[in-house]
Amino acid sequence: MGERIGGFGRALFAPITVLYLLFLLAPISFFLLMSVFRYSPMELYEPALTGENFARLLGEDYYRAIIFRTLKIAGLTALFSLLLGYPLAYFLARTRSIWRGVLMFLVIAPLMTGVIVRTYGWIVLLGAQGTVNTTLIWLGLVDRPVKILETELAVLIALVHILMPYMVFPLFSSLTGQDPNVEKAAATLGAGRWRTFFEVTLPLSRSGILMGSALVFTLTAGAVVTPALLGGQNVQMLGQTIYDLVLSTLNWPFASAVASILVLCQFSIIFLYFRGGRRRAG
Amino acid sequence: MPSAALELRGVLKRYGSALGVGPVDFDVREGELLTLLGPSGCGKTTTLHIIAGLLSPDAGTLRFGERDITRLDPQHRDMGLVFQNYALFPHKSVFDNVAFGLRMRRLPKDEIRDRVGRMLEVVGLPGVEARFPDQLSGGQRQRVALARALVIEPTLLLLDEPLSNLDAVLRKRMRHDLREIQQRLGIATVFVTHDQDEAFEMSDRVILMNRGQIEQVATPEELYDSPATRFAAEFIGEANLIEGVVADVADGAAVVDAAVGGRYPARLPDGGARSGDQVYLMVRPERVDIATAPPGNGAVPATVTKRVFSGDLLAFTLRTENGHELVASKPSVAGYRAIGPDAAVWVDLQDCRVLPRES
Amino acid sequence: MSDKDNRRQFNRREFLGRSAGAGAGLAALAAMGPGPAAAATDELRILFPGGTWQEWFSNTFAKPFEAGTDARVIWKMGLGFEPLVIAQRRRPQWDLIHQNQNTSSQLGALDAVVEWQEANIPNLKHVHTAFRYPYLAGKIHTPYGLAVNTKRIKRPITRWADLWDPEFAGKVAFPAWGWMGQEVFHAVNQLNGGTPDNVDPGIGKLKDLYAKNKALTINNVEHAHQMLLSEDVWLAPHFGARIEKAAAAGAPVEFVVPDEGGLSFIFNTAIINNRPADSMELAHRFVDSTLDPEQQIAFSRLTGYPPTNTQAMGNLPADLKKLEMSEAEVAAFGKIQREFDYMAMFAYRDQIKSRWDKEVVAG
Repeated sequence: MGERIGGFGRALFAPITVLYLLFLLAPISFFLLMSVFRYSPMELYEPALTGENFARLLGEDYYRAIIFRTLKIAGLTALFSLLLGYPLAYFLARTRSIWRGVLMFLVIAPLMTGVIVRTYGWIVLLGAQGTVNTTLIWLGLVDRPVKILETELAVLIALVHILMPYMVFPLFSSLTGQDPNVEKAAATLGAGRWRTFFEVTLPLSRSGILMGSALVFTLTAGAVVTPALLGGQNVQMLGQTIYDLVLSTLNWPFASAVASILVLCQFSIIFLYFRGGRRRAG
Repeated sequence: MPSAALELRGVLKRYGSALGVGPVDFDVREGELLTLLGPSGCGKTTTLHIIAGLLSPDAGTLRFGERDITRLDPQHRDMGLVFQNYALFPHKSVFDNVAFGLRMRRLPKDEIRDRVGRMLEVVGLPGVEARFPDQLSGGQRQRVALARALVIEPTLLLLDEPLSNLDAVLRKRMRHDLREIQQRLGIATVFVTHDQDEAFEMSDRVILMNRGQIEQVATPEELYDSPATRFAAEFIGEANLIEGVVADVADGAAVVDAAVGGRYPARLPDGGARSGDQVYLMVRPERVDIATAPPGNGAVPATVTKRVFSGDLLAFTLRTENGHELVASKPSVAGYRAIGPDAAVWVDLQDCRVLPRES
Repeated sequence: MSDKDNRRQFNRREFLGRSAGAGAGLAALAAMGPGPAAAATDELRILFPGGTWQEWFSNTFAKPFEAGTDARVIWKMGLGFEPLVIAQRRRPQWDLIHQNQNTSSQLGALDAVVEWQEANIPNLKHVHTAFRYPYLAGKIHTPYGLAVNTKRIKRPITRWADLWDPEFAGKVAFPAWGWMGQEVFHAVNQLNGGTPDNVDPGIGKLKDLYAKNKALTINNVEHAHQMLLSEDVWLAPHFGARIEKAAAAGAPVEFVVPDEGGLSFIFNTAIINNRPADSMELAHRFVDSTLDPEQQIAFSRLTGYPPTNTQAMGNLPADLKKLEMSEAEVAAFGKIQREFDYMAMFAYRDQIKSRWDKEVVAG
């Protein structure tokens, strides 16, 4: 039973509705239309309907590989953010330490520096003379620097780091929103710590898991700077592909087709999130 | 005397530097329903959580039969706990909620199904296995929580204010049902509440707690008739506390000169009293007699300052000639109905009890 | 007229013919721009990349210009404004766009920017011919060659071809396509006998560079700086002054002008076509000031890049003497790019980029 939204509620929603119509729906409609226009070397596009952009995007191995790689890296980034972020969120949600505020601040702090700055930070750490390689050599694990820059691993590491707050906060809020008594109830009924975690805590934090994963996935899928700087030519993803097509190749119809696929992937994930969220599980 | 199921000795819990509870000593006897009663913050829930193993005491021991269970994890205690907010697993069906404890005990599936079904019948909710907690009413959730706690055949049932989230009508019925189920299963139960009526209607014994300490352990009747302290007298029901001086002590009873005027016989507390002690004279409102004509010896003249009608009862506030206030509660019958506000009356006190007056 | 010139003329006519036919959608795009096309003549509206470059440019040229006229300079900062200018061709909103000789020639082919004439830009006649292009002349020029790590590389580096030396595998880098990559690619292609409509030689060379010599990609000035400093890159095409900055920051690098000829990027603000006459006149006066010898020397001092006005080039003050170049050196810098067929590069950009992606990047 949804509550009825009165005139006052509608008035409150009006500005955000206008904002979304102007800055979300209008541009999306624009590039969806553009994606079926014809490319012209001398124009940005010719307004003649054609399926050639999608045929090129879906028909050529090079672009299919980019789509696949984007989905793979987005999925892996969401997965590793979850695996690393969950214990952190759990600790933050349960600790009674007076340092909790400070720790929360440290989780948010990376958001205060730009993504470009953080990406350059990773170049310093992951380079041939970087901290990671000098440590590996010092430990005797390798005798020559390992190539980490311009690999998917470098992109993955940096994206997991950069997007971690987007995973931790939904998890944190779903964990703190849980009734603390349900864990206690499980304990009195005979469940040890691990059973309690897997039977109760984890399923009840499902909305946070879904929200965090959907956020990290969509942000990764659209990432431009980090894959470009840390992945180089070896880690082409949809974001850079669109960037190049719009700004240097000036092929807007094809860029729009690539963007349509990207947005389709992102919307699918958000759709799945809402479907998953509607199912019972709080 | 029935044997003790659980013994608490010197149990103490601090929160930071503030005292949570204790040290407290008491037993839970086989088959009884023992209530921890007291205002919020008195330490009753803390005590319950210490019994369940959800909190570990800073000092003291808990013994269960021959076993010291002070440091035993909650999952090994075999106690069924029902929370104030029920704490059902929102992502699990009623069946899975109730079956949870049995699954943890790795019972065969068939047995689990039988026992869950039977227990839902015991709590009066057959056939709701497939529903989810958010599809149940408050009373139904409460019964599911009870079934979940009972189905594991716990050695002790712990109830943490289980009725306080129900509406008045449902609460009254659940009091009866809970007590009935508890007696049928003969399971020793510790019940936490701040509601005196609940405690009186359901309990075999009541432990009255205040500021982390036990004020009194007694049956409901003893507690009402013979409160041991001023707190007990005031928390349980209503009481007139009249300053007085012991005039004489003989044969385990006292005679007290009361500040309202008059001299009254009174029962002595456990600690006794001596002539000349400054004490309180406690008298329940329904034991304050009112008459429109002087009834004879010892009655004191007074004026009605307030009269409140509540159906079956009339509550009078009285001012004696020397300026003391008394409250009286009388049946709403013709003789008392005739007494209006501002009426001049005569007052006599019955069934008085001496309470020590703290310095 | 040479064959090449003939073809350029032909292409230009062809492009203009086509662009006239397809304007409906662009009108819709242009309509999304801010405000009416009618401009206040007291405003000079400039599209500019931003950063320290903008700060220097503003201090040296824009602020004195504002002081000397009633005009106020309005900036729009960001990368890749070419599509905006193309989209607004019928109703342009901006007066000037900061570009290089390549991109300005392409916009010129679309009639989106105007040719520079000595008649209304008097200082143009003093600019060295090496730095004069149809749609702009440089306010400075930016020598571009190889950054060489002299600590790691012991043998002398003299040629672009040294990038392919297997000894440096994994330590060479190439600029990203959208940054300088496209230009350097065409230079490589041309040095190996290719043209914009035959990029096989360039694609083959770059394929080798990535596949065999495991080239890394540098995405921008800052990225290049990091990679040179961390010594992840020992040898890469880069801007001379930027290499000297990296060296000053502690990177063991040195700028080498390859024997085949260096590159030189000529940056300035191209004048956008179809603006109101008053705005056009203001824009011409402004670009004329960017060619003024004294202001060029001031700009050189800030940027470390040499001036283009012969009066400035011949009269460098003592502290800038190091920027002085002989006629031969100047000629060597312009050598490759003067052969570029910009319009063909522009016309085939999508096919070339697509081959780059599939054969060099994914290959």
